[in-house]
Amino acid sequence: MRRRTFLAIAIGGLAVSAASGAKILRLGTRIPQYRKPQLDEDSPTGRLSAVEMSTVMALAEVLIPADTKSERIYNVLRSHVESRTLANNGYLEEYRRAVALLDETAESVTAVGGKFAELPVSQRQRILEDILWEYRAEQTRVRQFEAIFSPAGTLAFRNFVVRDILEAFFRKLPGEAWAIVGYSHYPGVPADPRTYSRPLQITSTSNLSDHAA
Amino acid sequence: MPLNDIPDVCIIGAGLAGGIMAYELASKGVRVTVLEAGPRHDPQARFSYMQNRLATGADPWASNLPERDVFTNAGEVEYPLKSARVKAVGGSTLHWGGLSLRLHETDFKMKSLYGLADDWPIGYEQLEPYYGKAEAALGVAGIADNPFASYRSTKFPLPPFPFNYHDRVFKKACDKLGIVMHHIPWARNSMPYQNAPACQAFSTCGSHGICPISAQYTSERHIQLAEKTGNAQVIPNANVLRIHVDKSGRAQSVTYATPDREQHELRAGAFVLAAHAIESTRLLLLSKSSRFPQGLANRSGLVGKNFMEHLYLSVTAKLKERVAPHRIGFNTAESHQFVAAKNKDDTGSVKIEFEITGPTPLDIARRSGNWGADLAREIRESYGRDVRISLEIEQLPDEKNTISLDPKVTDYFGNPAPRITYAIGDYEKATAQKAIEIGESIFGALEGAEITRGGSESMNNIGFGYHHMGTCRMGHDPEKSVVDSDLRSHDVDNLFIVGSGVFVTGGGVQPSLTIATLAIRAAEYLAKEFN
Ligand SMILES: Cc1cc2nc3c(=O)[nH]c(=O)nc-3n(C[C@H](O)[C@H](O)[C@H](O)COP(=O)(O)OP(=O)(O)OC[C@H]3O[C@@H](n4cnc5c(N)ncnc54)[C@H](O)[C@@H]3O)c2cc1C
Repeated sequence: MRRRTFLAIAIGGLAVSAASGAKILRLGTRIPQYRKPQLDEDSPTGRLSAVEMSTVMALAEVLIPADTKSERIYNVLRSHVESRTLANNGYLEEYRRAVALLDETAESVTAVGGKFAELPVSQRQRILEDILWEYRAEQTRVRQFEAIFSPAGTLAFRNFVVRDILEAFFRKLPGEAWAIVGYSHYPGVPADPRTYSRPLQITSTSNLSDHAA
Repeated sequence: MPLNDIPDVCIIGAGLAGGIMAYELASKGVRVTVLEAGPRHDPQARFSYMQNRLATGADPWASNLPERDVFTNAGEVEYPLKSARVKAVGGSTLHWGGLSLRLHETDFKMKSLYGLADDWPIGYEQLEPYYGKAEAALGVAGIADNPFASYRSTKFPLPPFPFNYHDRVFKKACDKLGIVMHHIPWARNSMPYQNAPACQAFSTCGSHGICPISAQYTSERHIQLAEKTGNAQVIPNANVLRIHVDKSGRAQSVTYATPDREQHELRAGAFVLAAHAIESTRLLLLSKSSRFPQGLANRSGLVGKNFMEHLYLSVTAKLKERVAPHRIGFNTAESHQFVAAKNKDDTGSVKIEFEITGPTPLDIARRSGNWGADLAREIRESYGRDVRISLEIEQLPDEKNTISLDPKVTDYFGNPAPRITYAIGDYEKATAQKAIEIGESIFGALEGAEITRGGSESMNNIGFGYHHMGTCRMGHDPEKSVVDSDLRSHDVDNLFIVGSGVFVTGGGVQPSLTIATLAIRAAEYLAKEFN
């Protein structure tokens, strides 16, 4: 059964038992804590194989919001993932699970059974939409349902892999991240200290032309 | 000074108050040893601290020995002490904001002017010259354009930081309402000062608590200056456990422990307790003896009573037009219009801080469910549309808000942890309500602003300034206070207590300039005893 159908049936089930609403609500708010995926602190650290790493980078290519994706970006992210799986117990396992999830989903959606990393970006994007559709639902309540009904693997994928890659992009590639909003000067980089008292000079994007004059 | 010598003065704590005392005494020829519970951070490593903080979020000022810094909460409101202090050479100034404000002259006379709380045993007029000295010591950048401030006899030592370009967004609204905005005095170099460079807009001082080039003042500056005199030595990782008195009731020595739990004894001619309002209290209570059964210097029973804070609330709004946040690490405009009211019957002081700030691209990404091009679009659409008004409010002393010794929980050295019993009274709640109304009225006067946090949501999210005050209050009467106006304890003649613990009332502005002012004055007085 595909996840979406499963969720619909499950919500229906909740509606039927609405008489004991208070209890269900409490259950609804408690379950996410029970179900909150945890890193397995006993699992070993180590390195991903080259093939696994290329799948992770194929995922990063879809995830990161940079306009242009230079080799430098991939080098930084590769080194981030490597130090993460080497230093923090649980991450090697989660990254491996992510690779398996992506490849399994790729196989099931492509007629020819291709690997995630071999697919064009547009198809990888569709696969992510399928796996992460709940992630897009913005309301907390929906997120609670997601926490109840999503397979634990999907939640872990989002919490430990997707977030880790996105966070690494924003933290470790600040120049690229701040360029999204047209900043060439951003926290951590020195500048003429009076710049802030003048209008912003947009340097790298024209999407932000509506600044207060 | 050789390490084994008996110093004239032993200072406990190398934070703001301890650092200033050390320099002021040492430069007057008094031999000083400073014992500091925490480690010494290398100022040369500040750049890598900043980079690491940005790359990983790791807080370089986090406790190096968390079991030493345990505390408990027993009151209605949980007080987040962990984020509210730093234990290291430099103390809490290692990640303070640097806002350096004078109390208002009315703050010293709350009882006589408003019939509230108590008057201080000294007034603004006595402190005014020392405020000028403290501004010079900290290198405060400012300009006297605050029409609500009390008189001043000296200029700020450094020129002000100009207004943020986007402060004009707030100005439009404030002009309509008749609210006057003015510059903010910061202990941060607007030009090179005291061998430290001018600010270079790294923009990590406020949000990340690090200036990589030390253009923002930390009390490490005074510790270094003190050491340079040759009259001061600093012993880091030296946690004072007890202050001992001799038969005559004078303080004679301290016991301190290093992280290996080894204990050491240090004698001195006089002692200055500068461990901040909570730990100073704990040390006094721990140092009880047959002569001082309620704790040292606690004849009044007031050690640990009247713990105060400044409460912080915020009202936020989304704007139609976009501002450019994160180009500098601090605010540049505030208003003290509601700080010194004519009448404080129902509500206390409210200070308005105008903040050109909002979520960073990373913050937006964290909250978003998008990725890739959709995430980039979302960031572009929403970045720079949020602004905030922060409101700092006064809290009156209340004997029920206390610091005491926890009966069960002990720290790394086996001593009772400090227990905080804290609540927010009706007066403060009413002041908070008024503050929210002020914030909302400003956004109400701002065309196109949509309030995103206000009313009960602001009320339910009351925060703190991390200003601990009032636990060892000063006064003339030994029955009703712990120290006199020179900060000498009433009960122990050679024991001085410095820091905001001695404040009788807290006013409505940040306390540290007043801490420095009182420390300079007390050092002048104490030095005379040795010269
Ligand atoms: C995030 C933050 C922002 C702030 N921003 C501002 C601001 O903008 N403006 C402002 O005015 N104030 C601000 N403050 C408050 C300011 O930092 C304090 O008022 C000031 O540092 C207090 O000085 P102090 O010397 O009394 O205490 P501290 O600076 O905290 O120093 C006390 C020292 O004593 C040491 N110590 C404690 N117990 C022992 C012991 N038993 N033995 C030996 N040593 C001991 C501690 O390790 C510490 O180093 C801020 C505080 C925080 C946390």
